[in-house]
Amino acid sequence: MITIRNLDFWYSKRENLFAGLNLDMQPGHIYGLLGKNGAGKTTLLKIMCGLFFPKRGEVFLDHWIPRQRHPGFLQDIFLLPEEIYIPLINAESLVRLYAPFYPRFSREQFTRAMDYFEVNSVRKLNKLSYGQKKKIMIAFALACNTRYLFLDEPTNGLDIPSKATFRSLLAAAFSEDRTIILSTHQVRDLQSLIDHVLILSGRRIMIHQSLDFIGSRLKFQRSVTRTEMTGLLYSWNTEMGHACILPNFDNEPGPVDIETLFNGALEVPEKITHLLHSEIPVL
Amino acid sequence: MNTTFSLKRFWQQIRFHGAGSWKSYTIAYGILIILMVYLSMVGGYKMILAFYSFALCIAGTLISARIFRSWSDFGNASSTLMLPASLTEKFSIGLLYGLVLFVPLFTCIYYFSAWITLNIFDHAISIKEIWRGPESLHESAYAFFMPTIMLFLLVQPIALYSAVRFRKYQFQIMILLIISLFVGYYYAQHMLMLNLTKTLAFNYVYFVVGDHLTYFSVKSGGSYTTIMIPAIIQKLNITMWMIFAAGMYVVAFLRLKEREI
Repeated sequence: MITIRNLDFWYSKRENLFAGLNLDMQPGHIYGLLGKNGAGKTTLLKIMCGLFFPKRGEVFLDHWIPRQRHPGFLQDIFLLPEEIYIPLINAESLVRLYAPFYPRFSREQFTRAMDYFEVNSVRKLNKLSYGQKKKIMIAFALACNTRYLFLDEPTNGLDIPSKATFRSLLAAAFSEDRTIILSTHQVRDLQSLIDHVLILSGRRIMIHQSLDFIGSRLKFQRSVTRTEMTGLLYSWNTEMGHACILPNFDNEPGPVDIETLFNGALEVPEKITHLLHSEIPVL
Repeated sequence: MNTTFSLKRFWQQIRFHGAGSWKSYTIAYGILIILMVYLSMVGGYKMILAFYSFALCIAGTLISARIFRSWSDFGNASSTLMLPASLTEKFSIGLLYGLVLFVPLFTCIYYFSAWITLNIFDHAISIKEIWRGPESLHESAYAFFMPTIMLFLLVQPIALYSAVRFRKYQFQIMILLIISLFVGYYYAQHMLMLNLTKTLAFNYVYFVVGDHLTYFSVKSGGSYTTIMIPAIIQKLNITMWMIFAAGMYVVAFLRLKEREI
């Protein structure tokens, strides 16, 4: 379980990135961490990994304090940053030399992922394209079977078939004791994986809800015009008409369009958060 | 789980670091061999003898700074800090490759270069002579090597500290720190000696680092006078440097603990 209490963090004292941020995350979920550029998504992931230290407040991953970077903690967490560092070895050597640090590493899982991604494991990693390197590191990250897996923009640099492969591999690697956080701007790539949404905005967590809950409170519809909508909260123009958010008065949770939710949360935060935090949707 | 030091994890790190860096080490040591052979061809074996101390400190510092740069380098730092090993193990890897393995390896390269020079260019000098160094300067191999190693032990933690403390211009800061340290030290010594030798009219004092800092020379007019450094100051000198070096290693280690990316 990830627990963050009253987290303050800044790069410059004149501007707080996080002020009194609180967050609880449970195992057995795939969280989508969303936010505009500079909202602090990557910073939050790095604080949880112990790469940045909170200026104030506390961060715990189970009983571990990330800033202590205890070897036991590091064995149980894997961060795949957007800018990946690649040692000057090939994928085979990577497994031979790097995998022993992760006690639950599965060579079989790694080989399977490499096969699905169709990556050359003999060539040195630095000789491969960015997308190829990313595939190898994704395969490695999944095969480590750490209880905490944080992926920062995992689909950046992947070709279209590889994005689908990534989704199926991640779904297969997921288990009830794992907490997976995907920080991304490419929500359409990962929409089908995410079961919880975290939206960072204005130095705090604006939305932290399961998609089921969001779908029970908000209705996402597409329409050619906006005028026919009753109780319209937000809409934006897409290439396929207007994507709209409405209160959900049905008792059934509907599908959530994460991209529209994100845009709506940033454009009309009060309306969206009010509905998500109130007891029942009201007109 | 041993949280401070595990031999298994340390061995894994040795392999991992070695596999990723062997090429750069090979290039670095190759350049050193070429440079030493070239210098001995140009200036004779005395040249590489003089070069030994200088090159050991420079090359050793560069190699140590390179190893510990992985803590500061933006792309590399995340993976170094996130590697499942303790801080002691990560720090020890730097010391192993930058000190424990480097000094003997460098000394072997030095003798290898001397051997090449002797066999190809200069048959008049024996390897034994090179081992002992010029009689006029050194009484023994111990007297030749120890001050150099000590000097390196002073310079290396400064390199480590600069690499982990600063995000930018680490190399420039390191050079500045080393120069400031030695200038400061020599100035302090100079002032001390001036006070100890008030009776002598001299205009310059210079120290020989070798032979355990046992004497200094005073230049008065055109002639030099050798004055033995009092035993207490000799001991103080060594002790002070040892404390300083140990302190710098501790400070570098603590900085590493608090290192963010």
